[in-house]
Amino acid sequence: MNSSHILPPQKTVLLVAVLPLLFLVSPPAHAHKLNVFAWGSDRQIYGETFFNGGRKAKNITVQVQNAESHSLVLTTQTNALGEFQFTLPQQVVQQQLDLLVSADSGDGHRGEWLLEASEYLGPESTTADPSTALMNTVDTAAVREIVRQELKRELIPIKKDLAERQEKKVRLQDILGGIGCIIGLAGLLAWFQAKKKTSTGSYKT
Amino acid sequence: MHISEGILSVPILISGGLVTTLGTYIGLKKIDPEQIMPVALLSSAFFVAGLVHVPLGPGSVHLMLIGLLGVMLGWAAFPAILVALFLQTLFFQFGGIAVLGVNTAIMALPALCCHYLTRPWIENPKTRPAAAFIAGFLAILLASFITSCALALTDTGFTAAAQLIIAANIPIMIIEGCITMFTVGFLAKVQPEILYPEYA
Repeated sequence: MNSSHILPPQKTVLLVAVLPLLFLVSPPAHAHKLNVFAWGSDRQIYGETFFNGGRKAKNITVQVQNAESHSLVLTTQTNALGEFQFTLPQQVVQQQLDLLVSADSGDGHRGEWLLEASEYLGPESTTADPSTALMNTVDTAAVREIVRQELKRELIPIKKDLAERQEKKVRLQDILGGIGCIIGLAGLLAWFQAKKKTSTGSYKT
Repeated sequence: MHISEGILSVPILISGGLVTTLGTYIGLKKIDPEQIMPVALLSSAFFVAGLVHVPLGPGSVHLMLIGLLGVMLGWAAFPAILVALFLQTLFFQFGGIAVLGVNTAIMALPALCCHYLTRPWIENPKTRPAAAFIAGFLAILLASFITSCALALTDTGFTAAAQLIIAANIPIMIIEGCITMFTVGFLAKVQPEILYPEYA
């Protein structure tokens, strides 16, 4: 190695400092992941898919599997807004299966969401229609059921929001931490090579 | 171009891991003390570039700079990309630990191809801009092909996957072509030493 190829230290430091900073000031950083989440009541399930940063995953395949046996329950597609919905088969509802909803965009991105049976089934969904029961007499069980259904509906946006918040946002300290790790590794490599140099008396080129 | 976990079959994951191990070994052997800082710099650039999403085309795509890494680093692109991808997995959940080998191979192999294909023309000032553009463009195209192959060998049809991935990455190919062209041109002006063959 010719010594003229050695980078002057000040130029190297400048390059190291400037290049990554160029990216920090460019458009807002988004992670790169396909997110899925699903919610529902009784047999009707709704869901949404999006890439981190909010970009909708349009017209992609969504598979619904039994979360334990991984047997396929049904397959559906997202619409142009990245949303999907399907009706669960009667037997799935009866068996109270936990469902694994997975979306695959076909280009190597994949996301999953576990939809537990308790989330789409009311615990007393087999009772008689609560509204008719209420007509006859004030039935606490029926009132409870109505409240539960209303609450479930009201909680959907909150659940959606919580699911979205679970996604880790890219933070500046992560980026700087990553760059720090790389520089640290470079230092480690330089140290090993310097040790080799002192033991052999010259650089290995 | 990160393949998520849970898509590829085990033989592909193992082959990707072997290719990456071999490439990283050769790459580390080839790094000499003067090259350590540029390798770390380009590795950092790759690490951060993955966060710059380009809201064009049908898919979710981001910059990779693999053409630039290939031209500048040659075999050292393997360790540079491996380290950056590992940190991206750790910090941003891009890809996954199990697919780290495959993802590194997907991006480092095109980098290496571009290095050998375009390096002679990059060293010539007349052909430099065109060669650098081609390196940036071709690297993404090759990476799209390798990704499609990996997906096709598992289950998805090759044509379907390739069409989807290449269509999504066309804007990236053009952008990276330009970035590589300007960066190489800039480095040739301010730091001409690093473009000489002995460096690689």
